Amino acid sequence: MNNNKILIEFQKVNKTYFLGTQKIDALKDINLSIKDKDFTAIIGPSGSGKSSLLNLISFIDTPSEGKILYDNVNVENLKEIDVAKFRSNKVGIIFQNFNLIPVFSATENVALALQIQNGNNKENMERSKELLNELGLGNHLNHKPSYLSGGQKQRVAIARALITNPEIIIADEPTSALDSKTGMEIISLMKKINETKKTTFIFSTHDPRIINEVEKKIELIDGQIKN
Amino acid sequence: MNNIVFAVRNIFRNRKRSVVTIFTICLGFTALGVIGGMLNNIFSRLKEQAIVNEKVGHFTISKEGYDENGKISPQEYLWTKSELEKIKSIVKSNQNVVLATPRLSLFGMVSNGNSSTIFISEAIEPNDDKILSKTNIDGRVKDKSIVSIPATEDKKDVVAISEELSKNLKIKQGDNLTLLTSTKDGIANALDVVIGEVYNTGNPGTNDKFVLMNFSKAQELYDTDGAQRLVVTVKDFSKIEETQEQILNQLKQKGFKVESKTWDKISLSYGKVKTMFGVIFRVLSIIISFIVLLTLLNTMQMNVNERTKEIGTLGAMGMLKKTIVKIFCLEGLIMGVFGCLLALPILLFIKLLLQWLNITFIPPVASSEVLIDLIFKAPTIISVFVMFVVASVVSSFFAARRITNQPIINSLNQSN
Repeated sequence: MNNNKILIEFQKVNKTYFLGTQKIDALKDINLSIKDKDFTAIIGPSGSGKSSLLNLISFIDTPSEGKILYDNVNVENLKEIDVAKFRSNKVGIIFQNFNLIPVFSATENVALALQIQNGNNKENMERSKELLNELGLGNHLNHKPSYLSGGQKQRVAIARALITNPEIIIADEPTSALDSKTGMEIISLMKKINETKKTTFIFSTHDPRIINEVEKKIELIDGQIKN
Repeated sequence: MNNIVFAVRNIFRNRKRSVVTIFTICLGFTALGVIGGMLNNIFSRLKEQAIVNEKVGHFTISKEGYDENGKISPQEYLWTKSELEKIKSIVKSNQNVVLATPRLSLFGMVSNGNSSTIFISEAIEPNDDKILSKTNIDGRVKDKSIVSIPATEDKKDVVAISEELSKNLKIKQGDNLTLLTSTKDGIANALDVVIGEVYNTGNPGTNDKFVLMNFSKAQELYDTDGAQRLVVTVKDFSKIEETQEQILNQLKQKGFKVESKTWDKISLSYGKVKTMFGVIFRVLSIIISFIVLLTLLNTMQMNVNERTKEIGTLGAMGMLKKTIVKIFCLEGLIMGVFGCLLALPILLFIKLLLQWLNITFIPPVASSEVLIDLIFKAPTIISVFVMFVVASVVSSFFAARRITNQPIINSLNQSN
C-alpha cells in the first residue's frame, strides 16, 4: 500500500467535446487520486477517454466541469504564465509519436526542456549528454530524430521528460509506435526510473503484455472509471 | 543553443519556402530600390538642370518687391553699381559662398532681318559662368560642360540662343541677329549680336525664346551700370537655406531691403516634376509593399501551419507563448534582413548595367535627354530596408500569434 501524499486529485471531472453540433462526453464524473511515486497505467479500449484523461493530468487541457488539484492547488486558477512554469517544472510529457524537434540533435532536444525551465545555460548540454548516456544513447548524441529508430526516439523523449526532474511524467501510449520488444524495453526503463529516481509515472496503454507488468491500473470505459 | 540558433535551423528546415520568402523580400526591395534610385536620378538631373543649365544658382537676391513688380517698374528694382558692389562684398564675405554673380533679365523682340519673334534673355558674366559649371549639386561637384558665351572683350556681342528659336527664325551659328528691347526707362533700344552657339535649354517653356548674352553688353542695351539680381552658389548644398538666412540678416543689418528665393522656388519644372514623381513613387511603393506583405503573410502562415504540432509540443513543455512567437519573429527578422542584404548587390549590378547601357530619356517638363541611372540615398535605402524587415517580422508575428493563441491541445491534435 502506497502511503505517499496525494499528488493529483480529480473531483467530479467531466470533459465534453463538440464535433460540430454533436456533443461528445469524453470523461464523465471522474474522481481519482494519484499518489507521489505511483507507477500507474490508464487502460481501456480506443475511445474510452485515456488521452483526454492524460491531457487533463498534464494540464494541457482543462476540464469542462469539476476540479483538478495538484498538491492541493487548483492549477486552473493560476495565471497562464504560472501554468506554463508549472508544466515546465513539475510535469514531463512523453508523446505517443515522440514529438521531437526535427531540427535539433538528440542532445539538443533534451537540453531544450532545460532551456525552457532555466534559460540558456552552458550546463544544459552536459547534463543532457549525461542523461542520454545513462539511457544508452551515448552513440547517438548528435543524431537528429530522422536518424534515430523508434525506440531511440522514445528514449530521447523520455530523457527530455526526465531532465527537468519533474514530479510526474505522463506518457500517452508510449509504446504504440514501437515494436513489442522495444515497447517492453521502454516500459522497463520507465519502471526503473520510477524506482531509482522516485518519479511518478502515469501512462496509457492497451497492450495486454504491458498491462500485466503494472500493479496499479485505472480502467476507463466510455469515459468512466470502471470500479 | 539559443533562440537565434533555433530560428536559423528552422529557416533551413524548409529551404524552398525560405528561399521563396527571401526572394520575395529581395524582389520587393530591389523594385523599390530601382524606382527610388531612378527618381533620385531624375530629381538630381532636374536640380542640375535648374541650378546649372538654367543658371539659377543656389539662390538669388534682389530688391524687395522685384519678383512681384520688377517687370512693371524695372528702374525701381535695379541696384546701382555702388549698391551692387556693396551687396556683392557682403555676400562674398560669407564663408560658404562660392559665387555671387550679377544678372540682368531682358525681354523683347528678336529679328533675323526677315522675320521676328519674342525673346527672353539672361545676361551673365562669362567668367562667373565657368564657376557655376562646378556647382555643388546634392553633395556632388561635377565640372559640368554647360553652354556659355565667350569671356573676351572683343566677343561681347556673341550670344547663345535656344534650339527652337534657331529653328523658328531659320538661323544658325555665325548668323547675325538684332535684339530689340526697352531700356530701364522704357525707351526702345536695339543691339546687333552674333550667334556663337545654339543649344537646348532643357526646358520646353524657354527653348523657343531664350537668348544668353554678355552681362556688360546687356547693361549697355538696358542703359544701366547696375543689376537686377545676384545669383549665389554655396559650397555645401545642405546649407543653402542656412547661408541664405545669414546673408539676408547681414544685408538687412546694413540697411538693404532685399528678397531672396532658392533655386527650387525659381525653377519652373522641378517642383511640378518632383510632386508628380513623388506621388507615383508612393503609390508604387504601397502596391509593391502590399504584394510583398501578402506573399509574406501567406508563406509565414504556411510555415506556422506546418509546425502547429511542434508549437503545441513546445507549449506542453512549458515554453511561454511569447517565446514561441519570438522565435518565429526572429525567423522573419533573419529572412527579412537577408532578403534586403541580398538586394543590395543586385541594385548595384543594375546601376552598373544601366551606366554601361547608357540609355537616355526625356523626362516630362524637360526638353533635354537625361541618362537613366540609379542614385541611392541612405535615408531611402534605410527606410525601405526597415519597411521590409518590419513587414517580414509582422507577418511572422501574426501567423505565430494565431496558433499560439489556440489551446495547446488543439495544436497537438493537428494532423501535420
